Amino acid sequence: MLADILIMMIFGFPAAILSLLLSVIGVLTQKFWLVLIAAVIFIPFSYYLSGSPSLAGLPILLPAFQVGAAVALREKNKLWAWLLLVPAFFAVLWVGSRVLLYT
Amino acid sequence: MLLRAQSKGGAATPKYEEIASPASTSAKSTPPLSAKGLQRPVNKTMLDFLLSLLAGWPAILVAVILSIYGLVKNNYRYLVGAAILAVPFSWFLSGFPVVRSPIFLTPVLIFGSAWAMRYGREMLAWLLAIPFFLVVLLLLFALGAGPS
Repeated sequence: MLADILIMMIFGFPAAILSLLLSVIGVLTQKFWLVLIAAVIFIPFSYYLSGSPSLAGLPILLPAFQVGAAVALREKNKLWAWLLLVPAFFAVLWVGSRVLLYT
Repeated sequence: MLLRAQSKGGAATPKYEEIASPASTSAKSTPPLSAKGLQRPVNKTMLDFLLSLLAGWPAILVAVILSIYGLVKNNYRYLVGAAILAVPFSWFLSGFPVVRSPIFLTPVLIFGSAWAMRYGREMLAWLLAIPFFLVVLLLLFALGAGPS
């Protein structure tokens, strides 16, 4: 039971949404390590998503964009930080819309 | 002697069912629309309202908002407030009154986060608060999924 809950939390939407929220807070408060923590939280979700045969394993690269956003934030470049967060947002919104459409 | 006489008498001592059920007492001793008769349902409603405030979504939302505000503003006092608010609902979620789940320990995470913030360890404060947010998000998703 506890293992199921942990798997749902870490691999599912709670971790993905929390990761996005942490990324936004990190960019707004200019704390690059917060975006790095968000990237680490996003890894299980992207790993799970990369198992989909139609996506060819590409979602595993999504945390790399967040790491890039953290680097951009460290270099005081907020525009690139926001732009590099877009793929993760897009992926979560896409998966969420598919889930809502097909359930 | 008096106690013994009352217990022997039988009619003098009220039975358990008469004390426990409010309907029987209100029907016998007080008229149905009197102030005393109405006070008990009002008390129950107020207690239910307080319970829903402290152990329901209002407390959860306020705890989350306070903890995020405390983390963003680097103020440990808000985190302590969030941890105190998190105690009732986490105890309720872990199976009140017997603790059956580690969700009972979520206020400890926020207390730890407040402690870390108090001593200037901002990253540790965020890391300790993340499981609390995950639990709340999971609860939100479980509620959205419905009873099935």
